[in-house]
Amino acid sequence: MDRLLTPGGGKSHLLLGNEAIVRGALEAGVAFATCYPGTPSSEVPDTLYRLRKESPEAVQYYFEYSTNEKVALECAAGAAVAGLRTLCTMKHVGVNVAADPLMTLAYTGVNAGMVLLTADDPSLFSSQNEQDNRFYARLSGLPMLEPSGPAELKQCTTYAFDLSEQLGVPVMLRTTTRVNHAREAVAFDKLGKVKTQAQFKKSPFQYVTVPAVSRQLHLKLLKVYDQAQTISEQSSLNFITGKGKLGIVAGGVAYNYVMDAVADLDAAKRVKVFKLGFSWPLPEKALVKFLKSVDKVLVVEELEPLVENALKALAQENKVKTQIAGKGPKLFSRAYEFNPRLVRDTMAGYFGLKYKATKPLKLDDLPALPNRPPNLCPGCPHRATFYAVKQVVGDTAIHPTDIGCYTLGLLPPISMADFVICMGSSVSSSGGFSRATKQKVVSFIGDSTFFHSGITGLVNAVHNNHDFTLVILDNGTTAMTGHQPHPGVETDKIGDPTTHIDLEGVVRGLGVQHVTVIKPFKVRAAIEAVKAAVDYKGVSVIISKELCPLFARRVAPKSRKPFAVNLDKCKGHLDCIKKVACPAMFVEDGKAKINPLQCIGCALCAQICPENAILPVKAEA
Amino acid sequence: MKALANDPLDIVITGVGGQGNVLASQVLGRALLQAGYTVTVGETYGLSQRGGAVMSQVRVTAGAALGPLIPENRATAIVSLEPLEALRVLGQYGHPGVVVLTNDRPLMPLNVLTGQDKYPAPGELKAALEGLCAKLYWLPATEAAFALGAPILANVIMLGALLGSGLVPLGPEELEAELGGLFPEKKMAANRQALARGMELAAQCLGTQ
Repeated sequence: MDRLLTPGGGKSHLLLGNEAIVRGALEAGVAFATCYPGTPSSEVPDTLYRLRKESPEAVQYYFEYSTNEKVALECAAGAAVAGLRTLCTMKHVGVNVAADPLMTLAYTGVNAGMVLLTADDPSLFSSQNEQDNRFYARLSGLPMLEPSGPAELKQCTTYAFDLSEQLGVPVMLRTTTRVNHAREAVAFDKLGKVKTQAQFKKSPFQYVTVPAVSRQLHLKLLKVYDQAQTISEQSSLNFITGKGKLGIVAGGVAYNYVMDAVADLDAAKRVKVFKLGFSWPLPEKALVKFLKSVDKVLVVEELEPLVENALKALAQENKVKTQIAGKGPKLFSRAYEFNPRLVRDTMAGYFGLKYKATKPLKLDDLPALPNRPPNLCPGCPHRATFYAVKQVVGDTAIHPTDIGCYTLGLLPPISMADFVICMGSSVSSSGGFSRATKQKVVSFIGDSTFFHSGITGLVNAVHNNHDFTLVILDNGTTAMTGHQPHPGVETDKIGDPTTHIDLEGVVRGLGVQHVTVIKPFKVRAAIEAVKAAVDYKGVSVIISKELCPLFARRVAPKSRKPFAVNLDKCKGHLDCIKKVACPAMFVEDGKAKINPLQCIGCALCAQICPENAILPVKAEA
Repeated sequence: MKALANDPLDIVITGVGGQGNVLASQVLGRALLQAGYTVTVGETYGLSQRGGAVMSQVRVTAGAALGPLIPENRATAIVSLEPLEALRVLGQYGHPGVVVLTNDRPLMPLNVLTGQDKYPAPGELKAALEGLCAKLYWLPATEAAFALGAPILANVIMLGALLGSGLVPLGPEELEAELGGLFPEKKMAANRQALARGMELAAQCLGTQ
């Protein structure tokens, strides 16, 4: 059985931050969990899914990958209002999708502990923006905890359930990529008892948010805020370490960099650090006392100056003269994540501390290092679909795209991504582009993203008679975030007791008149289908159906039949490389070659080659 | 807890998505924790899993837990599954005392494959690495992994080489125990051979100097 399901406590294990959240939830007796996956949160739901699949006898919680974050939060809300301990996880931009229910769920409150994970991504490792979701605690009025590493993350997760029950509202757990994706020793406590069944007690004047009810609920939420603030003042998650007249206020991963810097600067006797773990409501009294005890304060917070501005307001209100700084020239930026050197150097500069830097290397004579951007895998069906569309519309069409592996279609030589802002925007923005211009619009969306938030856009397009072609890249899975199932997954392939929803049936049901299903590796037929769809006046949809090869390797393994270039036939046009750039191909002496270890035999290049020089490798006799 | 010769012991493990460096850092981290040290591992991946560069940082101390990132120019050792990535990371995390262990097999970035970008010549890469570190282990890990029947074993071979370098306070049994927790028994014979092969390669590399 997986170590995360160890019933007893005592032992420590090296856990990923996201695994620590799972263990913390299990120790709290979580009974219900929903999510939409997204980096850096994905390992939380993926672990819950895996544990349930591997050890159905040992787990008692219900878990689902929901269609999107709004649905996940609403589904979780139902369970928590009914009375089950509930966890709901998503990445930072997912909270935007779930923001509508969140703002008013804060009013109704919940009847059992409910924890919402918001996993932020400063420096945008895998996101479209780096918004600071600490704002959501302020916007919703809900409490927020901000642990600094996996050990604290487990502790905070368990505590968040208790706190949520104590206050009667959901509690937000805010992490950043460096916390989700760190590993450290996490001490286990006992698994919690799970209450798996609830009995809903009707209380419409608490839960049905008509204006007259909500006016009262808002007042109730403000009282919850005051109560939460009293708890925050006393919380052991907020503490002071070190001593001296130089003050630091820090939370989240930045606290680690501060402590590393204090050691590096040998400043433990000069720098006093206020660690903010229960970060909303702010423990104002404790912070004012701290401000009074030091000469100057540096606030070390990634992204927006939320704590800094709050401290400045508190200082003004309380007539504290201590100098407070955080963001600004020679200080911290509002963009990107921090790192140990940045924090150390900024602390040294602001406090006037001496630091003897390690000698950096002399890099002047280095050869130029080529970059290594990510790319579509060998045998990725998206490459073939992009190729077919390009043969029809060339470089002239507008290509709104969406969020998934296929966003990599941005890179040359494919270069077929013109606009993306969020999940589902490909479909809806296509209407705008096609009405505003006379250009052809061919947009791209993945199957999971289509179910997430493409459907409503397509309804809009059909209803309002827009004119564009939507290509749904149906690779049977949620590939980019780690092959999670979604409503369109062929459930028999993965052995899940969920119900398969037929993508084509949905599209036709929405009223789309021109629907074609293509197999992208049948290049000629695919091109013909694209031509017909693009010529159609109105909304046309192409469903390009082919399993993600990484997913297929797991669920429907086939033997690989690599191709090779016949060098006698190859005339060095290099169309195969210039047009589709498959990582299994390379140029040597002016001719194309195929790495047999990488090629999976999709045969796209073979169909592109004007000399028919690319053929399957003959099995060795 | 035994004191460390270098405290903190800061190891960067880097390579290209799909080479198994996250697994390598996990095995190393677990074994060091089991040996009684305080371990923090930071991982950098995401979009980079689709053929981009991937980096893990393993931080070890006999004292209180460290943050998940190694300060720039402060790595004790850099272990790379790909030579270009070794040089890239060395620029950021290296210093004159750093030890570099790298697989010698290049993996070409896409722009190099398509002829738009140039990959440094292997000799040039090796010379650049040698000139910038205290000790270079330039190891045929992929070749050795092929000889063992599976190129994916290069990551375990590099872990073996790290043991062979004497930089980490661990023996092969301790890494084997952690690999055993992650792999079924039928795959363990190959993993044991890979560790041993990596140690041999490191020893040969030491012997030639």
